[in-house]
This record gives sequence, structure tokens and C-alpha cells, in this order.
Amino acid sequence: MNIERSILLMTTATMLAACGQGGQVDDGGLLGIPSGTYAIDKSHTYVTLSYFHQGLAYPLLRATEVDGELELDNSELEKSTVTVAVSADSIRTNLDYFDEELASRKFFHADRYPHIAFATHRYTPFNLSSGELTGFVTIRGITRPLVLSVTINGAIEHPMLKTPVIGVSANGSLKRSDFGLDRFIPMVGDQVQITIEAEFLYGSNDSSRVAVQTVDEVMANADPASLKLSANFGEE
Amino acid sequence: MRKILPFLALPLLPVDPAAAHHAFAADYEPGNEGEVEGVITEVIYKNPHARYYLEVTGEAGDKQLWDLQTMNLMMLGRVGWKKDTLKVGDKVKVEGILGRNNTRRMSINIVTFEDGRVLSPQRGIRESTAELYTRGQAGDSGSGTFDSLASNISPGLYKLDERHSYLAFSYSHLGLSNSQLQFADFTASLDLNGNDMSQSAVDIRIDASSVVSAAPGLDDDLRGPDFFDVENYPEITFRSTSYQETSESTGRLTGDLNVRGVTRPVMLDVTINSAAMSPLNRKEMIGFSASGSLNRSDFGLTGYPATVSDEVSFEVQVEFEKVR
Repeated sequence: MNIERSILLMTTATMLAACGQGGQVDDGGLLGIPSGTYAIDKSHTYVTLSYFHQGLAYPLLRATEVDGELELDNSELEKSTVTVAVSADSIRTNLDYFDEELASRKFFHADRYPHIAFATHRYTPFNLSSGELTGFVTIRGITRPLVLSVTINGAIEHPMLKTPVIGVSANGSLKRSDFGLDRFIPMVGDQVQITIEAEFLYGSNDSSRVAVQTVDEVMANADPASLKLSANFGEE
Repeated sequence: MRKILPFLALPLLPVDPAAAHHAFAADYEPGNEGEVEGVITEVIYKNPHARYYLEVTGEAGDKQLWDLQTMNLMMLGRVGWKKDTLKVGDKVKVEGILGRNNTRRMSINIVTFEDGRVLSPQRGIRESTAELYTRGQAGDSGSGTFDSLASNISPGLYKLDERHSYLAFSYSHLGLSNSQLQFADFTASLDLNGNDMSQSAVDIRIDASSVVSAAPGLDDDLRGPDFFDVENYPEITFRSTSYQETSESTGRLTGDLNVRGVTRPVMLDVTINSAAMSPLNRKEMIGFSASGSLNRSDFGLTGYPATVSDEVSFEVQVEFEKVR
């Protein structure tokens, strides 16, 4: 732990020396990278969806258009939030007809509901490197709670980009029937495992801003009944 | 605390030193199952296999430490088994395959909590033992036939159901995240030799150019001369050489993997998810999950050493249908 901490401090020092600009001053926080807005690095973010197919195997579907932002509060990690928008027509199965079917009215109905949105309810850190992220996920206009186990793999100055970066792994599961995606149950499992591998780079960008606005919009238009259902979610 | 343990008096078996490093059969005795009850004292949630230490209190009040092992993290994640699924302090009963020579180790098959919840690394998390053993519960087709798998396996030649099969691989990027790439196109055949899985064989042929990542530029690099060099080596192939059963539904598959003209042995943890007649097409189907890891430098794939880990893990999700 001490070694880990001193590496973090060293990283911080290197980063401060490298950054040397106003506004990026580390606040002496927990992770050795500054508080502020971080945008998803789309080239290094992978979201995999998996379910039990006919009791035989677990298909590995990829959500390929994933955008969003992390608002990192480095002095109080529990105040950090993550906002993610996934294009509903971007789920890839390696089969064109299945990709189209998933985007169609039979499943995500992407024409009408172009985004799958995730908004943070709260982050509960267990320690510096792991915690539980609870939030609301909206699919096809239906909002339900989602709990993700989060591991913070690293928070460093990016060796090539020379900018702060944070990398996380997260996983959780939801019941697709909760969102009206109930075709082929029980032949095809109801439970969908979500595996997320993501990197966030310091600063926001156009697409991350658009994603945040999209999620705000989706949440504002979400069925109030489904939000109410989730009101006590995660509270003691 | 209750303790039910079949007493083991096994002769010392000669162990092939080359196989000893990873060979399941060197550490465990397939077919010899038992159960232990105690409190989890340590969780080592790391590859190649997640491990748990269990403190068992003997009838005389003496404490024994058991070393429990299960599958690798990718396979566990697939059935919803997480880092905090089994925690320090949890009181559990564990059933599994016992270690050889009275060693206090066990390969986990089923975990039962005080509140009656039942877990199986092969079958996921269930509310009760009954559910674990019941096929086709409403809401999740997951359960499978836990107790009659072998009798369902029909010998013969099988071909891959390419529409329901996936092949993924993963490496650590800068220690920050674990990139999850796939090969979109591959095919395979399986020669299933009755109930003797060790006499079965599998062949996999992967279209190296079908590699897909989150960055199109990376896909091009991976197809190029520094990595898979698909122009000269269009196919990645795997041919099995042996299968060692660890339980009726699990085993360790060894085979020769050829990447870029270099052949090296690799080992996979295999779970037979189920074998059954498909109610849709009346074909005999068998489905597997498998995973393992390799060092890419062994195959001469040494690019990006500073950013991409040498260790690459892979996951196979495949369904086969019987052709004859």
C-alpha cells in the first residue's frame, strides 16, 4: 500500500511538472490525478453484453458506440459521477441480420429510442481501487436501477498523450424483461451480464458533451413511474 | 461445525513432471468429491484461477485451513460470479473435488450459504439447490442438466453453429483497462467420442483478418506485418491434443495453437454447458464455454511492449450441432 501510494505521489509530481498549466493543479486528492471532467476514450472502451443462449453458450455482444463523461471528485470519490450514452443501433453480434434485428422494433427500437443511457445515482467506494456504482439505466424509455461493481485499475498521466487518464473495469447485470426486451425468454436467458472496460481522458470533448446532454434529455423524458420505483434504490 | 469428509488413503501416484505445473489431475482427484464447511478467511480473485481460503473448525475445536480453487475470472464473470460474490467472513458449505493425498484443497462445484442461497461457478448464482438442479427455470434458461450431462452427450461428428459462437481475447492496456477484442469469423469441428471425452478432438480455424477492436486503426495494425501478418498467415488454427476431465461438466483441454506460423501448446478450462436435442431444429446440440491464456511473445507477437501486456487471455463460447 505504501509503495502504491508513493507511486501515485510520484505520478502526481511527474504529471504536475508535465502539465504546468492553471486549472490542472492536483488538489492533493486520493487518486493522484486532478478532479474534473474526463471523457471516454472510445478507442479503449469495450462494453460486452452476454446471456445464456438455449443453455448452450454465452454469446459475446459488443456495444460499439459508447460515449460519456466522468466527473471525478478526487477528494471525495463518492461525489464522482459517470454519464454514459450507448447508440442503440450499435450492438454488434458479428451477424448483420442479428445486428439489424436488435436495432429494430423487436428489440431496442433505435429509430424511436436512439440511446441507451446511464446516469449515476451514487458511487460507494470500498477503498481507493474498488467500489459500487449505482445508477439508472434507460432502455426504450424505461428506466431501472443498475448496480455495477467497479475496479479502478489505474489513474496516471498517459505516457503518450501526456494527460491524466483513469482506467476502470466494471460489471453488473440486468433483466432484459424489465425493459420490455422479452423475446425468446426463457429459451434465451433473461439475465444479461454487462462487462465494461473503459478509459477516461482528462477534459471533455464534443462527443462526450453530446452524450451528457443526451442522457440528461433521456432522464428528463423517462417514465416518472419507473423513476419513482427506483427512488429508494441504494438508500439505507 | 459439521464436517463430512470421506477419508482418503491414496497411494502416491507417479506424476509426470512436465504436466505437474498446471495439470488438474496432479492436484485433484476427479471423481472423489467431498464437502467442507467453514468461514472464508481470504479471497484471491486473480487469474489463472480464483482461490479462497476456508477456515474449518474440527470436532475438537482445532482449525484447519482449506485452499479452495475455482475457474478463471473470465468464466466466472460470464455466470455472474464477481469479486465480492464470496467474501471474507462468509459462512459457507462447499462441495467439490478433493485434492490428492489428503491435501486440504478442493475444486469448487457448489457453495451453499447460511441463508440457503446456492452458487456454482459452472452454473451461476441460484436461489436454492432445487433451482440449481432444475432445467429451464422461468426467466433464465440457464440451469442445464447438472446431473445427467454424460447420458445426454451423443457421440459423433459435430460442426460449429457459427451464428451462435464467439471467440474473444483480452489484454491489459497500460494497466488501465482490459481491451476485449474478437475474431468475428471462425469455424470448428468436433469429433465427440461417446462418454469418453478424452478420446474426443476439436479443430478450430480462425480467419485472422476478422479481428475486431474498438479502433479501426488498431484492426489494420493487427492485420499488418507486425502482428498477425494476415497476407502470409491468413489462418490461426487450434488442434486439440488431449482432454482431462475435472468433473462431468468441466475439463482441461490442451492443444496446439498456430499463430503466424508458430505452433505452441495452450491449455483451456472447458465447461460443457449442456448437451441436448434442440427443440427448434431437432438437432443434437452441445455447447461449451472455455478460456485460457498465453504469452503473445511466444508467438513472436511483440509489438507495443510498453502499452500492451504480454499475457493475452481468451474466451471461447461455442455451440455445435451433430452432423452424423
